[in-house]
Amino acid sequence: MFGISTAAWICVLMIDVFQAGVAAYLINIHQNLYAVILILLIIPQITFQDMYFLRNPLENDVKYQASAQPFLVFGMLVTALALGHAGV
Amino acid sequence: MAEPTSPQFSADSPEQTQDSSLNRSDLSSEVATPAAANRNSKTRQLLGMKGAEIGETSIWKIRLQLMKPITWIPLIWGVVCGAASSGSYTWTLENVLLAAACMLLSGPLLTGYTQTLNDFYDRDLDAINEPYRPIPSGAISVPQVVAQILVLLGAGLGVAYLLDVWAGHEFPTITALALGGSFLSYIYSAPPLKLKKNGWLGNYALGASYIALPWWAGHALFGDLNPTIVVLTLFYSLAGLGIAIVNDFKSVEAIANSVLNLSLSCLASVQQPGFAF
Repeated sequence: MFGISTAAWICVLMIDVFQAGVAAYLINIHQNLYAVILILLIIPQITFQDMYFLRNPLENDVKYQASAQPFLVFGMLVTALALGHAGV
Repeated sequence: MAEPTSPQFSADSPEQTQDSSLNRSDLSSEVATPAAANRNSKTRQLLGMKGAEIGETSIWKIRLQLMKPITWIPLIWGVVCGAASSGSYTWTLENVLLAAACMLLSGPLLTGYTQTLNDFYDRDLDAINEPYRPIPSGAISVPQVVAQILVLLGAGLGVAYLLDVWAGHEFPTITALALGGSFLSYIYSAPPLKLKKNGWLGNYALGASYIALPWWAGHALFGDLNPTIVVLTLFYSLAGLGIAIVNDFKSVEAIANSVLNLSLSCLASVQQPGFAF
């Protein structure tokens, strides 16, 4: 339907855009410190997307997941702490 | 998803894991070479990862293998996030026990149920693509698998109800989440819906199951699950959708290998990955 390269870009954009959207929400509820930490946790994911996944999605998918996902899951916890802190 | 080489977002749905096992020895593209895989094969088997040693005879080890413990980790993490976002979690003994019970619910019980159910509904496909798996290989009988599915589901719903009672909920939020989640698991794997055959829906169901569902359970346990949290975690799950699609790349690779190695008749039976490339 899309081709490998387009599909890889769709994945990457979804991963980045929606996390960034969450960071924007955190700024919106004035949890700026948590938002900054979340953004700092997205940056290495983008780096790994560029280093591994986008260069060769079929070869590097597993390596990318293993490298990038710790940053994603810690981003989830940071978000959760921000929400708890804000009393959402 | 593809091989759960990283612990996150790895609901191992066999239709997406066919790695041309019929030709395993010919492939160099497997993550681990056969020699390397042997080293940890026992552990990998117990964790429900691929590259496991074949020929396990203990029914309990096979049961554990069907429940794919490696995939429990992100769900357990989700409960932690929910407890954190509730804003009401304090480090008391009771809260630790409550959280642990909620992790038991999300991980071993309901993810275990989901994984076993998925293997159950994929048994015919696996008989062709991954005949060494526990059910198609006959290592565990179908009635035994059905019993395991029902016991895990029953235990999950039971623990969910106890958590509602323990937390003093007027409306049994956690039981409702457990019911909803186990229904989602069912329509993900079982005909006629088989959500996983649809790339977007299936992968979103997966992403939401890993991010939103355990988060809601943890949040509901310690606070009030409100629409803001629901919407925000469903939004976050769209990032999980991206990750679930990344996992589909493994199956594309596997299918490419299948093209090289399988006869056309075999190939016809190899199911496409959920996400159409």
